Amino acid sequence: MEGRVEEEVTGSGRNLRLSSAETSPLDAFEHAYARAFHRYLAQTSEHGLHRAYELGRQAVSDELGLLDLSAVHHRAVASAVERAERQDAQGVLEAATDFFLQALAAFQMVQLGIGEAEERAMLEKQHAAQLHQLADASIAINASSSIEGILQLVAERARRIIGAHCCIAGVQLTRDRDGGVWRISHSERGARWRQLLGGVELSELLSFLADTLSPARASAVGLAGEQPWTGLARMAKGSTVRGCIVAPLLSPRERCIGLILLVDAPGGEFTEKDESILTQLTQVVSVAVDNARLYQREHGIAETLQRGLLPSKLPDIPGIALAARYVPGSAGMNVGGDWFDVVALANGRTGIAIGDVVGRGVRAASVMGQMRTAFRAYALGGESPDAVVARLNRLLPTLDPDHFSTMVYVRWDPAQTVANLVRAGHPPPLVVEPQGRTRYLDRAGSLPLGVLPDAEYHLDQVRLRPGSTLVLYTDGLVEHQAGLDAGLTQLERAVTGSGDLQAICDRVVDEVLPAHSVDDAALLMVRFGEE
Amino acid sequence: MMSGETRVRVGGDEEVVVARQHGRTLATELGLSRTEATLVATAISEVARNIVQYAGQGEIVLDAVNSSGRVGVRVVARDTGPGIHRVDWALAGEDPSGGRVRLGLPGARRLMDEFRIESEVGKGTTVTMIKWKGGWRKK
Repeated sequence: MEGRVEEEVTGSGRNLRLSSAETSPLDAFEHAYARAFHRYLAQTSEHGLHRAYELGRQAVSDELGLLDLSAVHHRAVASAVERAERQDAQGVLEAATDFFLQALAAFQMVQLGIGEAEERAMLEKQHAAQLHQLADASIAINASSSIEGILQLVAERARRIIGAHCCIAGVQLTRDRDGGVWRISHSERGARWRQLLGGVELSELLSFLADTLSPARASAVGLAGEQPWTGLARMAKGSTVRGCIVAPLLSPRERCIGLILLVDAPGGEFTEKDESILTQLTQVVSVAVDNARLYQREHGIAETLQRGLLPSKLPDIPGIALAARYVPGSAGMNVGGDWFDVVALANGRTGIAIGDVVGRGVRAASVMGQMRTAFRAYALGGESPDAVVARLNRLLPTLDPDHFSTMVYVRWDPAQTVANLVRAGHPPPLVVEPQGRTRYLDRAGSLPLGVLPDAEYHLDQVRLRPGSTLVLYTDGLVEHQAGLDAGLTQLERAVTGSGDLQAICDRVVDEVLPAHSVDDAALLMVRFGEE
Repeated sequence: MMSGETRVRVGGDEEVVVARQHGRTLATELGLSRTEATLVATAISEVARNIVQYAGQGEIVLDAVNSSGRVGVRVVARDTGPGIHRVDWALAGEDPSGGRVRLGLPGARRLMDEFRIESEVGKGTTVTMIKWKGGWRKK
């Protein structure tokens, strides 16, 4: 029996522990609240109210809601009223009000604090997301090399990151007579701001920014009659604009060269944080625009240089018809070193060449020019094509050790049924037979120029019947996204057909040249046996 | 009307209760409602709690203030503790040492009509709060 009692005691002890572990925070809180409340009723002191304050705080940390707290209080009151004498009931309710009020005040105080912290956390999260988007935008902007591309990109991104119904980004240089480059991104609601483009309002903003060199922000109210917003306000007449923000694009010499303008914030006015994001964007864009201007300037020089170095007019050679096209790479990218030439040689022969100095920019264009001149000189010297190409191979490293070059040289002799051909690392020429059949001259070629100083160049022989057409081109023409083979097939298909050789040449470029090609491309067509 | 100021040294719960009592009495004498008096007591508990927890001890000064026809209770809590490294964080409920402890500070700011905090690391913290009669919340 004794043992059994002990067993019961231990058992009940275990049960107690178990039940205490199962007690919910609400039960524990209710217990503490009831005890403090009854003590307070016994003696209504400030001490008891301080305890109510602590319980109110605790309710929050126990993650109880306002309804829990009220329910706990009302059960405590009910049990107190039940126990109180009838005449004391009023006193119980009075005291209960003070106690509950105090617990509620503390509860609300901490809730407000949490609300504020959560609000702040949300804002921080938003800001972090904005910074992330800003980094993405910076990468995209820096990858874009045309001013138009940069401005379009930033107009879209700024509008999305900061949030606005319209964003206008533009560059206007004082020497521009054509109004500069402007791009806009807008929502349906923001479409009406299109009329800003080309308007005096942007000039007003620009001259303002030229003086201040810093961003400006206005609320809906501030828009009314303040510089530099008067033009915008006029335009917005009768419609809601929840603020505007503008920041200057600066040149490296801290001159205002353009702006980014955001109009109409969906969530209210633009904030200081928005201004900070916009300022960072304008810094990125300013640098990118400056780089793009350098690119375009160099591109311009190189293109001029290249066009100057290419034959302005193909020679008139009896017995052959000639057509050529040169297409520089897309704007912003530097031109390459494509070249071609046709030269009348002694004994009625004709030297026909195309080449590609690998590399871009002014330097490649200049090397190309020298190579073409040298080709002319060596070819006129009368040496066989393999010797001419070998000479050019020895010359190239002395012009520029960093460049190498591919080329095809075909020497045609009307007295022979075959032409001599050297192909140094260049894509295979295409021959279109009089009946329209095509074949690539893709027998093993030789190394490109500039790879091996004493390389030997293989001299090939190719039959070119009267009425057939030789098609020489550079890789820029056929480098399709789908692959070189796809490009070659397309070229084969495009070259067939009779008619004016220049018309065919233009059509081939239109049909074959990849859209937005970065590389430059050259095409030279020679039809034999025709005037 | 009570004149002059009341100073309570705070180092533990008992003194907190004394400060609360003075605050409530002053609020009641000035004609603040029962709810307003409770809010004053709550704010006192909160700043006193901060003093005990972070500085060990300090003082709470209570007085009546008059401004453009309004009367109110002013609570100044002062300590010479370690100070708050970043007041803006403290007011936003951020506490690098963790927990929700300081959430009372931003809460107290919302409960009272005026709230100002000055703190210097190594020198201490002073919180000044006012509850105006008849204004549950600042307009």
